[in-house]
Amino acid sequence: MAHQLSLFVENKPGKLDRILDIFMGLGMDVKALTIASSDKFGIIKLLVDKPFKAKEMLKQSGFTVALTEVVVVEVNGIPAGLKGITAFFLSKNINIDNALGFGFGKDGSALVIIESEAIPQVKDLLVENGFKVLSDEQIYAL
Amino acid sequence: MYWDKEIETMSRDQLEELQLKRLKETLKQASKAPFYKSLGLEDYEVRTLDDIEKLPFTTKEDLRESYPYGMVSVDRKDLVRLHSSSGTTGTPTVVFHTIKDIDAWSELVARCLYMVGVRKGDVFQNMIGYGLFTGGLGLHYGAERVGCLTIPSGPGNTKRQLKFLKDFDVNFVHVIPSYALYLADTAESMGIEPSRDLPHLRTALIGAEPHSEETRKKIENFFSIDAYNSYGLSEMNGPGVAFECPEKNGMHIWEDAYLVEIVNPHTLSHVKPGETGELVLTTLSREGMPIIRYRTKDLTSIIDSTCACGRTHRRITRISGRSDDMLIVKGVNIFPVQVEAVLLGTPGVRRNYQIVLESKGHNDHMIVKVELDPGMFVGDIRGLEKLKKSLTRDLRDELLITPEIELCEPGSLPVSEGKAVRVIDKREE
Ligand SMILES: [Zn+2]
Repeated sequence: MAHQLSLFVENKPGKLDRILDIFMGLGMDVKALTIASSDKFGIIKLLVDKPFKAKEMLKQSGFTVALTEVVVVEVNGIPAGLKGITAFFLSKNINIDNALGFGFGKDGSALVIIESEAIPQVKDLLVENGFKVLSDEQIYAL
Repeated sequence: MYWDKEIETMSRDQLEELQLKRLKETLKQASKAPFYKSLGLEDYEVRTLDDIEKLPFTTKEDLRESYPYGMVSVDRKDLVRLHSSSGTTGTPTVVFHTIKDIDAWSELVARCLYMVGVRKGDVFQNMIGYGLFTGGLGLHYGAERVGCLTIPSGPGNTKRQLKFLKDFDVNFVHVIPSYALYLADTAESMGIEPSRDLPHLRTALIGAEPHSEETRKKIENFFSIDAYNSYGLSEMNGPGVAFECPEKNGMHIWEDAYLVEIVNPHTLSHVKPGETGELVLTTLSREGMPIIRYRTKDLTSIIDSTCACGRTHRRITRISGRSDDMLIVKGVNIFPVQVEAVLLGTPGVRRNYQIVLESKGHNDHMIVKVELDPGMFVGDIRGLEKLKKSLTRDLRDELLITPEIELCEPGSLPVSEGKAVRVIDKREE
């Protein structure tokens, strides 16, 4: 299962900058990034090519960091392709915690990172039902 | 079982007889000090112990105004030691001791140590500040009196502390509770497993800082030891005033050395038996600087029932706060130790915290900053919101007002290796 980094940070300037500094030092590739802010703190989510190594390095630098499992699905454009997935989840009564679309190709294809509490089942279901689910290797090599 | 059986198990009548005799001697001695001379102390007549209520109080301000030598009641050539209380700004309060005072103090501390099972031959690491502060030297002398190998490590240099504990087969330590918790965190991160790596350690004496029962339990569980609560203040020597016995239900206060009163801090009259109030103490065996009816500002109550350990000296309950520490927020009395107790019972946050008080319009606003426990972070914002909600609810139930919770990154709040400073009051006067 592919993993994404999740960092707890106080809303203070310079946090993301420090994180990126660490990644650049490691020659780490960032595939996708989101920031969700609450009032005084935020969660930064990062899809990188070496999540376990990144977690260790961030931890050593004093960051509060966790890994969460994700699936990445290739869809034929947004909203049409994405709608296919949401309709499918609705029919199975599965809740999507977070979804991020990125990497829009010229042909209209897009990649969607999906987080859910039940990722392993979600992945199996998507594969069984013909969705184009990326392998871990494909994700990390993006 | 007892260091001084005759004194420690003396009948109530005998004890009070001894107290009255010593109180009279103390008044006579104190009258020699310029401060008490100016109060006309020698004109007060004391026939019974109840007459103590007729005598004037002594406050910290009195000690400050008597700086430097105004409280001394012996020839200055007979003084051998000076201590000063911690954490004061401006003029310090100082306390002087003669050689006889140091001897009597060491005896009291030895009595405390023996009570919790410390014996000759034990190894003792004293992680409390030396110098002007009384905690270090007070315990040091008492432990040497019992016959312990005493390591005057003082606080700080945590990794060396842990090394010494292990290498010298240390049996007991004296430590400030917040530092004991910090020591536990450090030990954990260094992979030290106390039951395996510190098999000789069996006792911690904790004091000098208000703390909760939960804190004691945490210390006991982590190190697999017994932790005993100690009470003292520099004006009354320092440690050795009151100490828990193995029953761990209140601290025996040595009534042959201190006359105990509990007063209502507003009316200054005695509270009803068992009620909480301010502890007021009179020294009964000090010659260099006797103090009459000293207002400690510490809130406690007396446990009058007999103790299973056989000691007849009454017990005082855990200090529930200092009138100085007490915060009044939205008209409600709050003690930081209440916040600590809630945090210790909340998985997901660490022990470190800070209270910030602000004015919002004409209202008080209380912010509690807590550090997230990195081990409990699973990566989603919903979990954090849930944590905030449950903490808010638990604190409201405990404090009766609703604070705002601010989750902070671990390690971002100041860590105290000494006395914890946890309250920032930014309210306008
Ligand atoms: Zn007892």
